[in-house]
Order: sequence, then C-alpha cells, then structure tokens
Amino acid sequence: MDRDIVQVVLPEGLSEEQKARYAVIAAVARRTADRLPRGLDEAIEPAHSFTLHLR
Amino acid sequence: MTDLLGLTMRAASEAVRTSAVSPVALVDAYLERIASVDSHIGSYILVLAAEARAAAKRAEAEIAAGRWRGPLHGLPFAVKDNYDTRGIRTCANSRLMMDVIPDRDATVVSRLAAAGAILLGKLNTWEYGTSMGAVYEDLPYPQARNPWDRTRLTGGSSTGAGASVPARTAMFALGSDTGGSVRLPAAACGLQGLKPTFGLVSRHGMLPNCWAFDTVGPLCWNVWDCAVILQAIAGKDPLDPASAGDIDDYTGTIADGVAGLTIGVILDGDCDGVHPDPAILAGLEAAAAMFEAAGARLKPVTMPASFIRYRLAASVINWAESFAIHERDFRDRAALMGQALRDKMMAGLSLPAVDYIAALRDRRVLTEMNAALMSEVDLLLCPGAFHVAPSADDAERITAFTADTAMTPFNMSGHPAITLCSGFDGDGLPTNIQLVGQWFGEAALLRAAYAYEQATPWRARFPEVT
Repeated sequence: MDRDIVQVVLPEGLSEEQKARYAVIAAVARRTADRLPRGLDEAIEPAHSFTLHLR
Repeated sequence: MTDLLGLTMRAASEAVRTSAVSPVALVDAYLERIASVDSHIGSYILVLAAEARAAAKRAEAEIAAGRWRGPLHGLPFAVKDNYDTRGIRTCANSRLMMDVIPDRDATVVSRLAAAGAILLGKLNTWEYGTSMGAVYEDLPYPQARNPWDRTRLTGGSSTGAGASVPARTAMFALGSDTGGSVRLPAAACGLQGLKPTFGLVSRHGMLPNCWAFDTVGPLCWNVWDCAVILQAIAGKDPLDPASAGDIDDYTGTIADGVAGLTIGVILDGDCDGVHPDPAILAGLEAAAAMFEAAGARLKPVTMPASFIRYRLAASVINWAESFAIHERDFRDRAALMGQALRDKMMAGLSLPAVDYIAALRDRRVLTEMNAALMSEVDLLLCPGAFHVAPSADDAERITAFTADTAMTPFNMSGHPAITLCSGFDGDGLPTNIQLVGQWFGEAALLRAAYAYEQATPWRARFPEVT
C-alpha cells in the first residue's frame, strides 16, 4: 500500500506552522507503524484490553 | 512536639488510631507545608483546604467515638488531576477542561474516602498524561519541579504526584500509568511507584489516556504505604469492564521475605544500544546481591523482544486510542490543546485502522512472550528508568529520559511492576530499580519490594525543600 495516499482532513484554523508540523509528525507516525510486524499468523487475534485478565 | 511531616505513613496511621495524633493536626501540618513550599514546587493544581479540614474533623470525631475505619483513616493524600472528584473541577491541566466539574467521584477516590483518607487536593500532570517525549511550558499550570533539585524534571505524566510526596505536600499520592507515568516520576523523585496488574484497580472516573494500558497506581515513600493503598482501592468494579476481582492480602505477608523465590535478573537492559547510567546499574547489581543474600535464587534472563518493539506497538495503540478520545476537541478546539497533545492527535490522525489492529495483534504476541518469561521465575528484577532526572530545560535528555526505560513492556502485558529508590548518584539525584510480578501477584511483588527497602538505607534520606 502506498501510504502517501492516506487522506486526512486537518482542523480548520491550524496555523501554517502547525500544518507543516503535521507533515513531519504524520511521516514519523507512519514510519513507526510500518515497523510493526506484518503477516503474523492469521490465528493471532488482537489483544483487546478488557480481555487480558480473562486469559 | 511531634514532627508530623516527619512521620512515616505507618507511624502516622498508628498515631491516629491511638489518638496520639489528631487527623486535624496532621491535615493542618500538610496544608501549612503546601502554603509554605508549593509555590516553589508546583505539585498542586488545586488545594482543597476547607474540605480537607472538615473531613479531618469528621475523622477525629469518628476515631474518638471508637469508629476507626482502618490504616488510612485520617491520613492526608492527593490525586492526579485526571481523577473525577464530585463538585470539584477536574481539568487534567488542559484548557479544554477548565470549566468541567464532575458530578461523580472516580471509584478510587470514593474507595479512599470510604477508607477514611483525606483528600488535600488535585495534583499537577502533563495534559491528559501526554508528553510525546517533549515537555512544553504551554499548559494552564506550569510543570511541577523535582524536590531533589528544582532545575530537574519530575518525570511524568504524574508530575505532581512525584513531587508531592518527597516535598511532603502529601503523605501519599495517586497517579496513573499508561506507559510508565507512575513509575517514571517515582524513579525521578526517589519514590516507590506501583503499577498494579491491568484490571486490578478500577479506572472508572479516570479521564482516559489510552484504554488499553491505563492503570491506577500509588506513589509513596514506603512500600508498606503502597500495600495499604492497594488494599483499599483494588477489586472488581461493575463500572469498569476491565476490572477484576482477584484481591489478595497485601500487608499480611509483606514481611515474609524472599527466601525460596526465584528472581529473574536483567542486569543491563540494553535499550537498543542505550544502557542505564552507571549509578543505576550499580544499584541494580547491589539489589541482585541483596536478594541473593536474603535467600532468593537469581536467574539471569533476557527480555523476549527488543524494547523498541514494545514501544512501537504501544505508541501506535496510544496514538490511535487518544485520537479516538479527543477527536472532536482536536477538530473543534485544537488551539486550546498544548503542543504535546496536539502532536499526539496529529500522529493518531495519520494512522489507518489497519495499523491499530496490527499493533493490537503484536500486543498479543508480546504479552505471550512476557508470560513465557514470567513462567520461568517468580519475580523479575530489571532497570526502570535508565537515567536520573534530566534538567527540565534539556530537550534532548528529556526525550532520552522518557524513552530509555524498561517500563512499557509491562504496560503491554499488564504485569504488575514497582520502581524503588535504589540510592543516589554523584549529584544527589535518586536512582531506581524495577521489580515485576506475576499477574495479580502483587502480594509477592510487595514482599520483595519491602525486603529490599528494609535492607537498604535509602528511606532515611529526604530532600531539603524550603
């Protein structure tokens, strides 16, 4: 997937400085997410917080 | 005349029980202390002097009438300002919340009130518990200062909780821990900071930061204090779907020692090439030696995954959930947010759902890895914060201080963990160790923590705050 195609709508009223900051933070966030393991065994379900103690 | 501020919580509790000390005198001593030093420390957002004095008078009358409620009766404490307090503003140091007066108490606030503890006020915090690795002076209340050195960071996000207990502006404090926010300020401020098992303590009435990890925890001078507080606040709450009912007796066995326990030891920690400060490593090695001398069996172990892997998944989960919590405010009132919270909103905004799910799936894997590690031992000894408190204006070291820790892995898996003061570096700043227990194994965890505290001299040293 080309992550650059992810579209977001920034709130109105953000300054140009904040919009520029968003571009930097979004890039960091996407790079962070890209480093997560992908292709885990499909049987591995997400760990939802409220089920942890019920294991 | 008794030095009321110099009493340990245990001694104060006994003195109140026997009417040797009045809760009124105790509360007055703390209120005078707040008036005297808190303009320099900034531990409080809101002080509830009249309410505390009225509660102290009620406690005094109850105890005089033979209705002593238990070890917290008449003892003054404070809570991070992300816990709802009925009729009293809860703002989490956010301009978004300056006019919000809850009509309910958080479950932990009402449980402590039922135990007879007396609320002195609401404590400073980073906005909604958010730092993103940087601290900006753009919040309604300036950040709290470290009582050991006012130029240093308190750690966070429970900044006021960390500052208040060593400054003696509260006898004990309640914070919250999403990625280390109890343990990090405890480490920076020389306290014992407990993050219980996820689910052991209700979060009902706590402003959420990240549902997956948010945990209530006490910051105290002594381990016994943590045990007594946990006894009062733990247990199933129908108002929190994540809460559990597996309560133990946390004080009854606290002095039973560590003989026969197997303690896994991670002496270095290597946070992706970053190692703990020499003074922190020395404290860790000394703690391992102490436990061995006390009869525990040490077993060298390693973390099952890199610290960065835990942090990646935790960050994505936290950004996504925080954005879900604050989306409307971000879209409508972003200008009222501090830069750190606004940065987190921007990170959350940019993540598709598939990333959040990927992170939750890796949480499952990492949790099972941690469970396998913990199945080999009774407890784990490892670093907590890798560094002592940095200067409050040193952005680079603040980022390192918040990132270089071994705390997030146990938010990820929900295991209980406590950071303990392990001495002081050459500048007189507190160092720390971390102990990790089994799920709902707080009794054994507190036993080991208590054994360490009893065998070391660190609780005899206090910061000079004037």
